[in-house]
Amino acid sequence: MIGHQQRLPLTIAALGLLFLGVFLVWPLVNVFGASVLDSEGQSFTLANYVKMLGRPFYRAAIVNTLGIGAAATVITTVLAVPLAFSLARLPIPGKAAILALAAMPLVLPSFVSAYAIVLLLGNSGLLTVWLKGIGLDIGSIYGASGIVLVYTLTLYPYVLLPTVAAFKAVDVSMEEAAQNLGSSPARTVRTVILPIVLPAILAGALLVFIETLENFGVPFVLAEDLPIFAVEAFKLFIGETAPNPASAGVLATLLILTTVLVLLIQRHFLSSRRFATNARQTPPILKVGPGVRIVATVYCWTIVLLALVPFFAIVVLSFLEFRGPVLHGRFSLDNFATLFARDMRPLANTLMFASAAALCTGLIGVPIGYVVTRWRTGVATLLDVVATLPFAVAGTVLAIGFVVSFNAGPVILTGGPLILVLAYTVRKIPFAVRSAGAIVHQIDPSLEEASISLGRSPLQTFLRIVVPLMLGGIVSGVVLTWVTVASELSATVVLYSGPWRTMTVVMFQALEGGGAGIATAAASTLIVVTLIPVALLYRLVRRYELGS
Amino acid sequence: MSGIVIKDASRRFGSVQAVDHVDLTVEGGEFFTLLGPSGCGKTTLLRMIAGFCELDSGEILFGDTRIDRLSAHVRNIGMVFQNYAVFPNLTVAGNVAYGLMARRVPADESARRVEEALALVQLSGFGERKPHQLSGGQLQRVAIARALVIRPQVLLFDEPLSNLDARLRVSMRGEIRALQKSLGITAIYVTHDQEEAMSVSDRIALMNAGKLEQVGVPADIYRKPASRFAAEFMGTTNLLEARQLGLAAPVWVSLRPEALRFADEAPADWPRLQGIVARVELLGPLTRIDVTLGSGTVIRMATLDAPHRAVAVGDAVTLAYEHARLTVVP
Amino acid sequence: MRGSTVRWLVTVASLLVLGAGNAWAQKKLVVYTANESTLNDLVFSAFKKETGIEVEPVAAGSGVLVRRLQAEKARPLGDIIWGVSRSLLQTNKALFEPYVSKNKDATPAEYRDPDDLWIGNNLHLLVILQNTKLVPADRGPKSWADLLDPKWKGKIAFTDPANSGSAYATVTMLVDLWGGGDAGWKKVGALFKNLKVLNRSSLVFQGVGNGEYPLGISLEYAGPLWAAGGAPVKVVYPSDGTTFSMEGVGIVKGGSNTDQAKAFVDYINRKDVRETILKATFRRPTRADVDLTKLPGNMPPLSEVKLIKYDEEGWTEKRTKTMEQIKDAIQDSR
Repeated sequence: MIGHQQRLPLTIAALGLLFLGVFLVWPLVNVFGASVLDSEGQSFTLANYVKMLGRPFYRAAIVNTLGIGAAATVITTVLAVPLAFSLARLPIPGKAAILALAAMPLVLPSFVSAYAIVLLLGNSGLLTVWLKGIGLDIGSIYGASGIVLVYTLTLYPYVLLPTVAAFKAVDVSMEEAAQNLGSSPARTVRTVILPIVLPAILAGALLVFIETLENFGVPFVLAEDLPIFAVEAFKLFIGETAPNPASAGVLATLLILTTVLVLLIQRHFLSSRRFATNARQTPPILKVGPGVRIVATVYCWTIVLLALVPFFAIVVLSFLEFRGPVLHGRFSLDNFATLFARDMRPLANTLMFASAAALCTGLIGVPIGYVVTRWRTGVATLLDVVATLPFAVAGTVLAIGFVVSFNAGPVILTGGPLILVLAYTVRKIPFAVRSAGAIVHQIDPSLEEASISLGRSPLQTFLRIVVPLMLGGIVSGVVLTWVTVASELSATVVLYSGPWRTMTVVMFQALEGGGAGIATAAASTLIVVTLIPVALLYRLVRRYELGS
Repeated sequence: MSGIVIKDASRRFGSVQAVDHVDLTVEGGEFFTLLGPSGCGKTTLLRMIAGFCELDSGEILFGDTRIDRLSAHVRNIGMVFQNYAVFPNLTVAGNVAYGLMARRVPADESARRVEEALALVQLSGFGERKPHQLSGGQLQRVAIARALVIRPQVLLFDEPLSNLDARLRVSMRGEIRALQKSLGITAIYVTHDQEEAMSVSDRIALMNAGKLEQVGVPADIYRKPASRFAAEFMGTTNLLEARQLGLAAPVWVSLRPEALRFADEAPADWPRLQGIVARVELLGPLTRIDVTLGSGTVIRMATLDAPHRAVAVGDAVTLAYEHARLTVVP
Repeated sequence: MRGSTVRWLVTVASLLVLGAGNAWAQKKLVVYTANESTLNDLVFSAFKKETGIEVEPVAAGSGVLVRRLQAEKARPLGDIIWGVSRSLLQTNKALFEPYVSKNKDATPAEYRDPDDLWIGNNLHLLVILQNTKLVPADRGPKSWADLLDPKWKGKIAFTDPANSGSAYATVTMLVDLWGGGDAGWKKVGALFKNLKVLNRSSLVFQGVGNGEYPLGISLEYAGPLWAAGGAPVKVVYPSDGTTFSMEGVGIVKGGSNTDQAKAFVDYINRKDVRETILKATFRRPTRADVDLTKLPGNMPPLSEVKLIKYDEEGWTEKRTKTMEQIKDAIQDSR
């Protein structure tokens, strides 16, 4: 018999598993089936794996990918943690501005960032040439070092944002206690503060690592002939010449297994050391000398502004003249004129898809996040693992699974807009589940019990007490989903059809063809169109949280 | 005014038998306390009654109605939590009206009942405040008003005072008891503090390792502990083998410190004990003195503060105890 | 406050849904195109102006498009596939519906299917692009053999054959040109030592055009396209001979707009349309009757280019095995 208080979580878990089963597991099974079948598709075999791992080319791809990922993760963390500490505890001018600017690179699709980096820092890049003119040779942007650079500049917010919050959550009394016991400030940081913020740092760092494994836009442009996992998997799936689903399935499976392994390590590590702090007040800004203050200020602003260079470059480029694909350094509004003369449908599509996907992600991800945080049962763990799986699935892989699974049979989705919204929703669910889970952690379960004992059913309690308390977090999660969906390419390019082209597809196609000018104009438009609602919503949320 | 009957209730968490075949009857209108150390199962038993924890076996009845299969939200229970559990997103009045809204009480009646409930807990005029503007004691009053206003069949208190400071704890427990008695609602109160339990309760159930150790009125539990555990948990006691007091019976006895006196202040027929003072502790109204008997046994006594009588460590003293207050414990 | 936030969100969402919901009344055609957006925009808007047929393009790499066609076989969503190579058209013939184009006679027989399942539109000569700012015009390579010179090490951009049909054709043509078999592969291996193998063909001509790489192995049209935009790019037609890859169009079997698809197939190979396309995007037509000397781009007539025989069918057949050989050869040359 199912107990009466298990009904709500079990219903949510069942619905969640049903959704993810149909729209995640089933497509993936279809995609990976090929990797464990022999060439006739009849019997089970691991020969494809043996064969792929036996080839030095793919072994090199694995080594390169893991090496670049590890390097980017370490550098990002080393840069972002002092930045986070400075923003949380030191007197830095313009903190709010820094935090707002830090989230901006997320708006730009990474293949556009990579294009801008090449124009600036490539072999004949504007900055490269200028630096050579003053006698500075910065070396090549291509290869591992360039990829690590771009990852560092674009992914550091993943470490920065949670770590700032963690530094602010440190209980002052613990610090004071340590200092009263005769601990030096440096020792206090190392022995008291760091262990408390470590889980946040670690969570951010692992997110960076997973992103580097999955990312495809950056190495696609910057790797030159360095073999990279995600790129090779893409080429094997839909390469023009010799698509090889079995081999591609092998690479994609290995990619997923690696990510799952990393996630499991993170879960294990975080669950074995959970530091509950009960900070009543934000820790004070430390008093430091002018020297430290200047160094910290310069450090913070340098990192944030450097990360925005590709962002600004695209905006500037969009106002320069392009003849065909060729850039001329004169001011012009032609790019926008050409862009707006065309069908504006893609912009409407982008806005609609992003809104619908953000809404669906919230509606599905928040209840799942609630269940996996509140109920520590086997079903909840299964749901947690399945809901985290999309982290590990490259957009291209999921999209191909969608096409294979939903073009025939009981559910036909190809050709319409719904398939895009579903793909985005599945891809963004882990973010919603994790951020919702983090907020649920902070809500005392006795609030829900109080509501139930006062006569509200568990479902009403969830809607009337839990959701309002989570609202700030839910809205910022929805906004983040909205922004990242608006800049999604890898699944879109495989799934869109007919009139359902998005802005990123426009950019991608323009960049592929001779229309770099249109691409930059489209990117600038997307930046403006996404930043305005983001800014408005954040203001609303902040007023809600601070107000009355 | 329904009483509560618990029949053979059990619950196991993994390898721990949290509640172990408990049978208990609480009379209508009674203030009943579940007392015990942490992990004894008292909170689990309370949560079973509230509906937040399911029974592996057994049943629970309110009056004649079996309720253990009902969902928590239809049991009509008022519950007060250790950490108040006041909804931070609602005003004080909003919190108190919450259960009335769930019951679809008309707005005007609801407003009147909220006002009454707030008056009852001395928070008239606080209705529009937000919870973060209130102190801990005020928050707990809101929680109590919120639980009372729905006119529950049963009031449940889960360590409601342990987040408050010592002085407030003492005055609040008096208020809670008075309120309960004036409304006549059956109340079950969970605490680990035996003094609090004795102060508020009509009856106490002392729990240990998922089982009821002893059920009775406070005085009985204190004065006639049914076990060594009960004797020790209900306050300081001397737990001795009878022969350490020079008695022949092969049993354990409990002798409360306040049943001992200095021989010269005791009636002549009280048995005497010789010893050396090992420790003196002045606690204000009370002085605690440890005395090492000839056999090496340390015995604890307590007297009211007596400035005229200076006792120092190392003094040889003669004690006397009231034989009638010697309790044999199994 | 909370109420108004929710209301605001709901309003935005419903506006967006309504905005996208307007129906498609007019005649339409779904084109799967591997061509770049400039060419697509040009052709589709002109086609609509003339015929009133609205084109819904699905633009992607030809690999993606073919995978989609195959996946959608049971319920085709596209009406036409356009801009994919002869070998892809040939290997996916089963997906197409036969149609005798009005331009059949003007198109040489080698550029169309004997059963009229597809017809070729344009030819991409495999050429060397040279950035004349980085390498003066007269000091560049003249032939494929010149590219073996160690002085070009790391200076030649090339596309990964796994992701580009023309790059695959280039490698296999050179194997044949350089003696075939082990001898040919050995020399190609030596060439690989000088190449930067990039992931996408657009990176090659962007690279040469923007000065990232002095030389690139690419398709002919990119040269005049970038030169016309003002970039210092020159096309080198290798003196030791080259070949071309053909791009064509096929009507998807079971598509829902087959009549419009036929109109498009006729339109796209018409003489005046080919000339318009050449002027804007420098695509060399398959039609024999277009006079290149009278058109911009300085593209020499096919008769003036040294062509060598290329066994397209043979190499297409051996593709999977050859691709592995190429991957290994590239890996060995690093």
